[in-house]
Amino acid sequence: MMQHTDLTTDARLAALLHTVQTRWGRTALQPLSRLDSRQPGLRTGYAALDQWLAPTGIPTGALTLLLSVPTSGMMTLAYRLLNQAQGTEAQVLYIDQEGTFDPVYAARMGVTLERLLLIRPETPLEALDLTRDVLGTQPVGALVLDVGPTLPKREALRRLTAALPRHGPALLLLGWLSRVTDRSYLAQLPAHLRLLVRRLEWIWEGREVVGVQVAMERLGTGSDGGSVTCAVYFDGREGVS
Amino acid sequence: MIACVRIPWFAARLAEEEQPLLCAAPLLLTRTASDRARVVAVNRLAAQAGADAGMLVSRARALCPEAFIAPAQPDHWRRRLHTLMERLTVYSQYVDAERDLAQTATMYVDLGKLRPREGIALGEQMCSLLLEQGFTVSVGLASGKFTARMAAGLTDAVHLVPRGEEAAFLASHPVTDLPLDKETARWLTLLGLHHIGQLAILPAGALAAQLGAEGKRLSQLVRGDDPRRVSQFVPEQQEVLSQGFDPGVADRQIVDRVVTDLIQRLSGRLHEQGLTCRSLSLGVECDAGGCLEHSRRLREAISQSGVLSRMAATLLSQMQIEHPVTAVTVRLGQLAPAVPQQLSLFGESNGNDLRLKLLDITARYGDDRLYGISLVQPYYPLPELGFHLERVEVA
Repeated sequence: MMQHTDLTTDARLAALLHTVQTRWGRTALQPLSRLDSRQPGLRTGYAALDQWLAPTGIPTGALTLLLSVPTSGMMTLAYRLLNQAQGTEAQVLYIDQEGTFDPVYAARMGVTLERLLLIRPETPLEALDLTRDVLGTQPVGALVLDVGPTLPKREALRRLTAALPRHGPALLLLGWLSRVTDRSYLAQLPAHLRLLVRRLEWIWEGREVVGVQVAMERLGTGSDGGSVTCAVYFDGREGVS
Repeated sequence: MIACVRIPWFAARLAEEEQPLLCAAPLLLTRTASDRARVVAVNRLAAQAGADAGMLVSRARALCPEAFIAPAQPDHWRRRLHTLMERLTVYSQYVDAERDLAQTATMYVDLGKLRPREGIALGEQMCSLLLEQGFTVSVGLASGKFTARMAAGLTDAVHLVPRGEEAAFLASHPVTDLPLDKETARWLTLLGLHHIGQLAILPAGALAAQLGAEGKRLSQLVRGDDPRRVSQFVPEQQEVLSQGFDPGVADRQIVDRVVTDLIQRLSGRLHEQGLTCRSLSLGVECDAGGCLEHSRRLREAISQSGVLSRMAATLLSQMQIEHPVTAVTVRLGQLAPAVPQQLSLFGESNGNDLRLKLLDITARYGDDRLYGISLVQPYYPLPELGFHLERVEVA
């Protein structure tokens, strides 16, 4: 008798689930066991960095700031990340506010240019508007907003993060810092992850510079966000830290 | 036969029309008054002094210190051009224009099959028609857009390039007249190719081999073969309401209230017709004779008076009004039928398709924002010559 009651309850639950899903959509009601609370993040293409950023990597559906002074290896890291985000079929968008995107170097870093769409806005404000417009577009693996030295204001970033859907692409903001930029200001910028890239030293092979040893630091509101070092080579090979 | 109608100094001419005093002095049009801003357009006198569009305002002012600086009003220019295009529809329903209109407005009219004599007669009629509107124009007639444009640039009246003589006509023009990016133009010059005729005699496929799709298009252009067609003219639908004040009103709150009232009436009209708008423009005329106009393109097509009123209030607050206001004009543009959309509370949205998003971006920001990239010579010493950016045309 008890078993019969259970079966009826199960059947009623299944019917209820079916009704709700038919009426409100597939994801409206589903068993907790099927819910994936954490989306897999993107890998950077560098084992040392991936290990340091584990388990989330560069989060999807969230904003990541990648900040550095010029010639720190940041663009190389960004291009490798685009390569990882493209995977086998995803499209990536690059919003090039300063007109500095280097396709030849990006291709050398493994980016498939056929699956990269370059967007060139006229003004910084238009860059933010365009970014907001393309957020959540499918099937886009990553969206890079290269703002150069014009770092958006906190309010603008807040609006951007608010518009980013949870299941959207990884949004990566690349910004150049001046040497006097206040670290505490950067730490308070509204982003899921704030990464500061510093050049430690050039890597030489004979009389030629072939890469750069970088330190990546996680800026947080807490006292210490931790850091990691990694060798970044200009020919696309993976370095050993 | 395609007629290219060219109006030089278009934006400056419109500014001078509003304030005739500006005719006698060099004029610089900019978006903002800051020295770091760029000049959008100049008039003939400023150009003679060395100023040019794209130059920093500080540099242009150094070249002609006596120049007047006036605000650029691209929406006003576009509206006036649209009116002129509408006038030209008496000759053909196929009338379009180039997007860049600040310095020189360029319109194309497809006149169909005509004898040369008839084409010249129609060209002369166009000149007179636009002269009545206050514009001195030149008209070029040819079988393709590019050749017609070149012909219009030669003369102050009408110039016809007979069919079959396009390549010979273009041969003496410099390669910089071709629609090229700076780097390609420089590259051609370094190779000793200074004139279009030198490109035209290159073996077929030589340009395409070096420049990809861009090269293929160029090799067609230099032979006078321009595949671009003239689009059909579609009159823009808009709703406009104005309110005048006599005497002028200095109280901003009154102006604000009148704008809200105008918006509500316009919104009511849209509701009645089942329409939405995608642009809002607010014009304010002042006692001193000045006219301010601010516009905004809307993220989504809407017709709600509340949202439009808030946007109009923001536009009004951005205006620096120093004299009593004598008239206010509200204009709702890019009208389109309201499309019902099925919202889903939990389901996946259909509006996230990349193609739809790109279409939307092209409609709102223009077709010069999206680029695809192709590598040409990846190992070329100059990185900027190693690739080509091609505009993405979203169908």
